[in-house]
Amino acid sequence: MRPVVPDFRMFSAGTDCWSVSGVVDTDGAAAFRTAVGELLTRSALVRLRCEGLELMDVAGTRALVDAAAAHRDRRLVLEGANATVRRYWALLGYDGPRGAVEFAP
Amino acid sequence: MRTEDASGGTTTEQGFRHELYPYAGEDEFLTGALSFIGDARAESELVLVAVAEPRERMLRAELEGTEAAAAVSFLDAEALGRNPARLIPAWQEWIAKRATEGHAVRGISETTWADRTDAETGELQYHEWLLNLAFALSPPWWLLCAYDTTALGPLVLEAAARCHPLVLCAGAHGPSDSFTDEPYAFAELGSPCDPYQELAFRSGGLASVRAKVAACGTEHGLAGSRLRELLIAATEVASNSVKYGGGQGTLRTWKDASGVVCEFHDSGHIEDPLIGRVRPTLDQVGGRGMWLVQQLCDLVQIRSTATTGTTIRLHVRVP
Repeated sequence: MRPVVPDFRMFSAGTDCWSVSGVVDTDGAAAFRTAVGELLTRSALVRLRCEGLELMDVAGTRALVDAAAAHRDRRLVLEGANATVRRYWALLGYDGPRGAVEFAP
Repeated sequence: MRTEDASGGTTTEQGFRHELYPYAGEDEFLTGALSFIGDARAESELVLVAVAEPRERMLRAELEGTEAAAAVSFLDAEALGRNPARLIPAWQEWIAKRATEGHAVRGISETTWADRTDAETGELQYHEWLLNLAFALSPPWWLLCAYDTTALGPLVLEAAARCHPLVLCAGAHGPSDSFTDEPYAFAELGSPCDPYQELAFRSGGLASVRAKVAACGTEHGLAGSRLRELLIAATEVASNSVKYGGGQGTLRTWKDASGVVCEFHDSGHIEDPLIGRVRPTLDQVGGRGMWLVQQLCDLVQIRSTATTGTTIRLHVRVP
């Protein structure tokens, strides 16, 4: 079986801030979950700049929610996510009061 | 909820009452709808009305200033978009909320059949059949489905008659002789329009799927959020093919008279006819992908058997 290469990239964009670009889908969800979880173990606040994030499928969304839920004492903030990401976040019901991820402009 | 039985007596009904109301013209629509609302009020039931704007305006005018007006809500079905798969969750949400508040409910529904493609008409008919399944175990409620016999063709009316166990005819509620409690008989999907593009994919190939879908969408005028939403939907369906459909699948893309079509085929079998039509809970494991697909696409056709595998067509209209 061919190795699956994630279609997203993450790089440092400042203190506790990381830029995410590309696509977080089923093929990259496990790697994304690991990366975000690692950041949350290191910082009380993790900001993900999402201007370059094209889309995130259900598996990618779930990876983010699971990572945040595993670190309830930390804050995970998605900044600059496009309208599509915000829309399906709401469609999946993750925007409610129990939501573990915050959105910011 | 009570209704008259065949002998004219009154019985208590349980479960979902799915009733066809074939009517001829506006006056008869009003007569039947207002009688239904009046009966609901006599039982202290709330009513949700999901009809097109002209019918809603007529009903609002008739109800204005009456005691019944406070018990009637209107659902803007147009705001849900063209995909009929969004109707069942909308009804479920409204009914569940009223049930939590302790209210018994009824509904009046009328679908806008004009300006529909053959694919849309077929899925609307399937939606009527699925209602019986979706609410088979629901708290008791009664849905009156209005069909204007002066405006609709015989094929639409016959299909409706087959899906409704009950019928309102000449002011009397009763069982329908035309109802058939059998598996739904789908029409053939038909062949893709030429020219179409084809791609075989497997694990690790989701980016290739998106590239193919993006090429077709862009060529035919999809851009921005509409294109991104189609790409998400395509990613979900392709992921399901890899996970549940034998590890691989085939994508075809083309443009038909109304928009872009993406067809996925794999060897898996979807057993749940209501897939994607029930809002997932936050704690639910799985079941979100097809829900999202139904919310993002203008129409989704699913054909699946254990012998032929699964074919899913995603339709997105282009300007």
